Formats: sequence, structure tokens, C-alpha cells
Amino acid sequence: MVFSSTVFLYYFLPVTLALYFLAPKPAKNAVLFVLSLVFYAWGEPVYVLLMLFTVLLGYLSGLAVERLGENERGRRAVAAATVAVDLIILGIFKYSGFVVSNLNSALGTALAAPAVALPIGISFYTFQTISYTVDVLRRKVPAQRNFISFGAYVAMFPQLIAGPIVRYSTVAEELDGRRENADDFAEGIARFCCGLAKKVLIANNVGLLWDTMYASLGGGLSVAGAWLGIIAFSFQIYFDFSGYSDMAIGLGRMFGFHFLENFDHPYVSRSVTEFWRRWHISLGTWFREYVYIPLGGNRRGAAKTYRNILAVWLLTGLWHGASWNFVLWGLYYCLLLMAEKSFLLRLLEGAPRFVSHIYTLLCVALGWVIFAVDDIGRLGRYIKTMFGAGGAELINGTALYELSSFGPVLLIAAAGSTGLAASLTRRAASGRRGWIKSALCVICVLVCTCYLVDSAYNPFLYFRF
Amino acid sequence: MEKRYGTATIICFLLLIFGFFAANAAVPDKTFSDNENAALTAFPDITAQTLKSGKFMEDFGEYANDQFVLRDLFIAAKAELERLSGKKENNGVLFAGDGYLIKKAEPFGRASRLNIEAIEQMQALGRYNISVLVAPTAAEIEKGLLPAFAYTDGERQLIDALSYSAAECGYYFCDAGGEIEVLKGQRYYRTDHHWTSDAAFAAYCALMRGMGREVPQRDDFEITELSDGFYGTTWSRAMLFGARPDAVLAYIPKGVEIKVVSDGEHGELIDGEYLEKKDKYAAFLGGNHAVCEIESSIKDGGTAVVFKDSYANCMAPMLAASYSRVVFVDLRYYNQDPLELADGYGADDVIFICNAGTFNSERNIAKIGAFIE
Repeated sequence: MVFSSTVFLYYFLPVTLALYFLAPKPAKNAVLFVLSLVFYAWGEPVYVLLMLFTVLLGYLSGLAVERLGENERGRRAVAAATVAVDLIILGIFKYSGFVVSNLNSALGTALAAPAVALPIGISFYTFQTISYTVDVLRRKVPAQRNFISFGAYVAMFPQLIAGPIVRYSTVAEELDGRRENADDFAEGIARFCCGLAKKVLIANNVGLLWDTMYASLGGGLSVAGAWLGIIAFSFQIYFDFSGYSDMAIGLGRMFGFHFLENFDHPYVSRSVTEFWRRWHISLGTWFREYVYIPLGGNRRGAAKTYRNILAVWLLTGLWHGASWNFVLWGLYYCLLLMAEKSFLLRLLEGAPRFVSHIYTLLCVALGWVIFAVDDIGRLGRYIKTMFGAGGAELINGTALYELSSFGPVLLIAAAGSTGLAASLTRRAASGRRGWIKSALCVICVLVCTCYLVDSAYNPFLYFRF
Repeated sequence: MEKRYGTATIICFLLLIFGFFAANAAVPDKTFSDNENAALTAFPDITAQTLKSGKFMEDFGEYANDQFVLRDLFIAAKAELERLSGKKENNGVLFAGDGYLIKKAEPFGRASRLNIEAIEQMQALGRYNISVLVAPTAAEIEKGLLPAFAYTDGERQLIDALSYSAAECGYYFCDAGGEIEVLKGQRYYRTDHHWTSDAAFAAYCALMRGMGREVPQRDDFEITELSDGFYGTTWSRAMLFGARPDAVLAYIPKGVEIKVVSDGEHGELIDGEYLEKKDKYAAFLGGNHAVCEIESSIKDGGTAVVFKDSYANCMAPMLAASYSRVVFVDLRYYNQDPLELADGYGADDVIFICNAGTFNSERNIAKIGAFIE
């Protein structure tokens, strides 16, 4: 189930809120766990069993690691085996088709790829359980003794299918000792409404523009159209993804959880390094905590540091989907970040604001082309078109028409990408004008409902993650 | 957030989601949407099978949207919001000038070529007297009303391709666009994708003239207004609050007796029942049928077999003034051998009548090709 649907908003959410808040305190986690399973099964009726297996495995291994006490080798062995099983499951369901088809084309074999569909959210919940296992191993957190509480953590519907990747240590205390309260609930609503509007009103909207432009590649796509298309996609993925995170954080808040922020206005960044500190923060943190630092981070000399950066970015690319363009995307950022680390960052700091800002936006937009176009041949043609190679017109009627039609929405999206929108709302709704915030929530929900009922276009972008 | 405003937010939000939850549960389901001219999804079956495959959940999602309380109001509000946000279209329908809602033109492409090819193949058989009337839609003729840069030339390309093909292969292609363009008054409905009966009449005259048949006179027809409250298909896709309804006219030949048989049953030239409903254009012939046979009291007018889409429906009464028998075949619904049908009726003329949008986007005429060795 996705948040941006009438089923979620007007069936699942009211039922869930009612059951959750009517349930006595000791039963609240059970309610959350069971409803999360329903939420997941709504989209993946069979794979819910796979997720339950992952939950059970993580739960038992956590207990085992703790029970082994001072037996370091035993603890490590159990944790390593658990993480290995988690990764094997992820490998089978996410990467086996990719590996087999590449083997076939490289070796000329005709191995049959296993016919499994990718379970939604598997990359998110697998990373969450791994973080738990490793944190217990590192003695950062005590093992969770209550299966229901642990299940509620892994399966918790707000962050289940599109993140953020909530590390166990973040919510360990709140899992059993949280206090839901009206302040959090109201803040949660406001946050949820904001995220819903970002997804439904902006991301879906400009997503249509990207689709139109991409579809015209090879048939009337102009240089201006190609840029317009990738600008639209840049806004689509930001507002979609950060909108989901807002909704997740808001829903978590309603139930008394405080998740960490996942996006911090990434498009205001002045370097690619900064961009990645502000984009999908929970994924970056995860890779830093569980891959980069264990590999030695930047403390073992320049050569190893670059090796570690390469490892992280290859994995980051592949995490986003089993396809070569994501590998390329990871490598692209790896190179940019290495270049910045070695010399570019110093130059950028000295450069005028607009220079470093434009540099960053250009790098990120090019990155999104690699990300969005999963066919290498088409990718090449799209980039060529952007730079006027291959005989594309500079601008044509289609580009002008779409620009005139989408111009205002793109401007709103641009303003919304900076801190401007948030600070304006905060100022407008301060003190005695607090009612403005309540009114905005109502308007958001009603307007989004208009768009959801007329459900022409409502894509889910994370089916490959 | 200050305490009382936080409370206000909570109350408003809960009222909204619980209010709609209750309203959706309380309001009985509808089976049909007049506005969209489409069946609405009913509550899906719950079985172990549909739960396991996820079909129940998928259908429930559609059900929730289709049966949402005040659905039409929400959809209309969305169209209005799109317009307010500077959009020039909604659901593929352009907000044009003078209150026109115009379906975007379809690009010339593979379907167009396959359709032309089928006509050429049929012509090559040598035993049919073929005429083709492909009517441009409002996106072509009313291009002056379109938003800036919204015009695309897919229909123009189609007309050119047909003119070329006709000259090469020897069938008659009637480019009625010119005749329609010079018409004063309304040539297309503001709220529907069809042409008006006035435009159809101009095209009909051009067709008869081009085929070398007697050119009909306006005075031979009784022109009646069937309705002045027509909100058509383009309005359904872009339900603006202030849209003005259209008037629907019918050209009925004077002093001609007409008998209609639709799909083997008694039919009507003008089916008054539809005038009470939303889709008033469907009054012509009672909507689309696979086969609709019209016999008129015209002596020695011959038989025409017309392969058509709904653009031909309002022209049906006019054609009944020229032919003793007209057989309308809608290839979207007719899946048997159309040549056998034409032969069976002993067609003197075979006429293709459809609009450039369907010709460019649907492979209906192309189906004929499959029946030619």
C-alpha cells in the first residue's frame, strides 16, 4: 500500500489510528505489528512471509549474540551468519536476475533467471535488521527480548516501503517506553500533510513532464526539452522521496516515535559532498556506519580511503537497483567525491556562491539522467541531446508548450526545494496565527484528495530499491 | 505549535479522515458514472485466490476511488486546480479559447500507416468502389483556439499521407477539412470530441460531390435541436465548473421513411432515451453498434457499406437521404470478415468514415488487412 492513495488515507489510517489508540498500552506494539503486516501484505501478499522470516531471524540472532556473553568468536560467528543470510535473501530476490542475464551475455550461456519479483521495501527492511544485528554485536544496544516489539520495529508501516532506514539504536528506547502525546500527534499530522502534498501535488505533477520528455527521445526531443525533462525529474525524485520521508516521520510521530531526518534541502548544496550529506541521510549514515568505517574509513592512508569510497559507492549504486545504470551512477558519484576530496572542494569554497551552486546542480542533474534512464544506449542519446550533439533542435514547440504549462509548478518546486517555503509558513503561522497551520493541513488533505480520486498518474518510484 | 492550534489540527484531521471513512461506508455504491460514461468498480470479491494474488487489493484501490463520495466534485475541483496552477490541459484535454475543451491531436505513426495499408490492400482487390472520409478533429480545425505552442501536426500529416495514397492507388479520398473550415458557427462541440451536425453535413456534401453522386441540399432536411444541455466527453475529462453546455442538432431528411436495425434488433435513427442521459451524442443511432443497417424509402439509391467510428453516427440520417440502404460497421466491435459482409450486402460503395484521432491511434481499419490474402 502506498500513503498517497485513498485506500491508505481513508480506510487504513482511520482504522489503524482507532485500533492503536483504543488498545491498552501493552498491546500497542502488537497492534502496530499486525497492522503493518496487513499494510505490507496489501501490496505483497506472499512476500509478507519472507519479511516475517527476516524478522524472526534477526530476533533470534540478537538474543543468541547477547546470550553468548563474552564469547567473542561465537558472537561474531552468529552475527556474521545472520548478516550473510540477510544478504543472500536480498541477493536472490533483488540481484539474481541481473547476475544471471549478465553471465548469459558474457559467457553465451542460457541459464534461466529465477522468476522472482522484487519484494517491495526489501532493501529497507533488510538494512534495518542488519543494523540491529551489528549494533547488538557492538553492544551499542541490548537485544530486544520481546518478539512483538522487534517485529513492530522492522515491519513498522510508516518507514517500511520507502524508508527512512531507521537504525535500531534510534528507536530502541521508544519501542517500549514511548509516550504518545497531543503535541507530537499534531506535529506528526502537519508533517504528514506536508509530505503528502509534496508527493501528490508536486512530484506526480512534474513527473508527467519528465515522462513526456523522455518519451519523445528520438522523436522530437529538443535540447531545451531534454533539460526541461531532467529538471522535472530532479524535482520529481526529490519531492517524491522526501515527501515519503516526511509522511513516514509524521506518521511515526503520531505513534510517538522520533525518526531522524532523511533530507535537508539537498538542492541548496554547494558541493556534491554537501549534497550527499543532505540527500537520503539515513542511507549515507548506514553505509558509513556499517561499511565505510568497518573497512577502515579514512584512517589507513589515502589508497585505502579511496578504495573504501569506491566500495561504498558501488554498493550505493547497486542498492538503488539491479541494473548497470545504477552501477554507473554510483561510480559517477564516486569519481566526483574523490575529485572533491582531493582538490575541488578547496576551489569550490573559494568560488562565488552561484558558481559552486550551479556546479553542484549540474552534477546532480547529470547524475539523475544516469539514474533515470536504465538503458545504456538511450542514456547516451539523452545526454547527447542535452548537449546539442546528434542534430537535435535547440528548442521546439513541444518544449515551449510544456514550459508554458508546467512553468508555475516548476517555480513552486524550485522555491520548495530551498528553506524558503518552510520559513514562510513558520513566519505566517507563528503565535496567534497558528490556525494557519491547521488550515493548511486541511487544505492539503482536501486538495490531495482531489488528485487522488482522479487517479490518472501516481507512480511508485522505489520498486527497484 | 501552540497547544490550542495543535488541538485544532488534530480535530480537523481526524474529522476529515474519519468523516470520509464513515461517508464512504454509508453512501450506497453506484454502478455507472454518467459523467465518465463508464462503469464504476464494484466491491471486489474476497476469496483466498484474490487475496493471494493481490487482485482483491488492486481492485479495492479502484473501488475506493470510483465510489468515493462526491467523486465528481473532487474530479472537477482537480481540473479547476490544474487550470489555476497554469496548466494548459487536464487528462489529455486542452483548455482552449471560447470555452472549448479539445482533445489533444494524436501523432501520425504506426497505427496510421497500418490503417492506410489495409485500405490500399482492399483497393488492390479491384472489386470495391472505395471512398475515404477522414475528418480532422477540433485539434486541427480549431487550432486558432489552442493554447500557445499546443498545436501538433499529426492530423495534417495523416491527411497528406491519405491524399498521396489515394492518388497512387486510385481510391477516392475526401479531404473535408477545407469545407469544415469555411463553415461559420460551431463546427465542433465545445465539451465533446465529436463534430457538430453542421460540420458533418458540410463533409457529407463534399463526399457526395466527390463521389459523383447527387449533391444534397440543406432544404431537403428538417433541422431539429435535440438538446441544448449537452456536456460531452472532453468535459468529462476536464470538468470545469463554468463550462457552457452544447446544443445538439439533427439533420433529418424530409419525406424519407427510414428503418433502422442495430445488431439484428429494431433500432432508432435518433434514440430519444439518450437525450435524457448525459451522453446525448449517443442519441444518433443509439450509440455504437457492431453492425447497424438503415433502409430508406429512396428508390435506386444503391447500397453503401460504411466502416466507421462514432463520427459517422450523426451523418447517418444524411446518408439515408442518398442511399436506399446503408450498412454501418464499427470495426472496434465487429470481428468477423468485413469483406464477406460487404460482399454479402452487394455493396455499391464502400466508404470509410472516421476521425483523424482514431485513425492515427487505433488499429481498427488495419484489421481488414488480416482478411486479405
